[in-house]
Amino acid sequence: MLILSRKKDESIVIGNDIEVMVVGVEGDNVKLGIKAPKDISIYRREIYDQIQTANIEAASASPEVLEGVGLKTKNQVKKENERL
Amino acid sequence: MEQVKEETKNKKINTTRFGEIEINEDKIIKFVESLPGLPKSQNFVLLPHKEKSPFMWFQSTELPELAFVVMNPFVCVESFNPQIAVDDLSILGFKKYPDSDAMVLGLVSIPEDPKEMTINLIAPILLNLQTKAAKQIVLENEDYPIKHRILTEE
Repeated sequence: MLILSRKKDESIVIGNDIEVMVVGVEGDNVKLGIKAPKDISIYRREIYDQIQTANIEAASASPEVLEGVGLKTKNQVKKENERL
Repeated sequence: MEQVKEETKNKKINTTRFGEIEINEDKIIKFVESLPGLPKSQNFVLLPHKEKSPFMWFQSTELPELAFVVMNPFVCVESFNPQIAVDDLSILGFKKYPDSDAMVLGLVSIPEDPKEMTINLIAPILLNLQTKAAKQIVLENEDYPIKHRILTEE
């Protein structure tokens, strides 16, 4: 990991398209401003970790486990299925 | 009036859960980015689980073993009110949400006891039904959980 020190209003450029700026510092709290192309997602680390874990769990299912699970469906679901 | 014959481009793909399946290339959904934590793949097809089932599968067209379950979060939470970031809307070609071409789908986690299954309400997939572009987004809502129980105790 590259470690750099920045003061308020100073920034870091990553590659050609990403910039991270220290917008404010209040005690322990550092406010960061991030400029990046829209197709690059930006997450708080702990949210990213949770999403990763949930995604991996979601991808480990097999069709058999859904058997015997009855759920009431609504017309909205049926209509959307028809569009797919 | 000239009759235009549409040639549907079908393609066969291998899948570990469903065997070899034939898909229409026009129905392939292209994710803007691979999903966090999952093997890199941006091309998927959306398959219904069973007739009348609220569950659907996103099956990768590139990796046979990669697939995950999704469902419509509005079926789980009638008051579901996703606050979607402007950048997320615009990257998928939307000026606003709701939009008749916009579909929000929540990933479903199924633990060992299927009755405990949960839906991810905070990081759903936003899909443009017209362009077939999709992205997993993080909603701006403050307290939507990553694990919301789908089935209530009865």
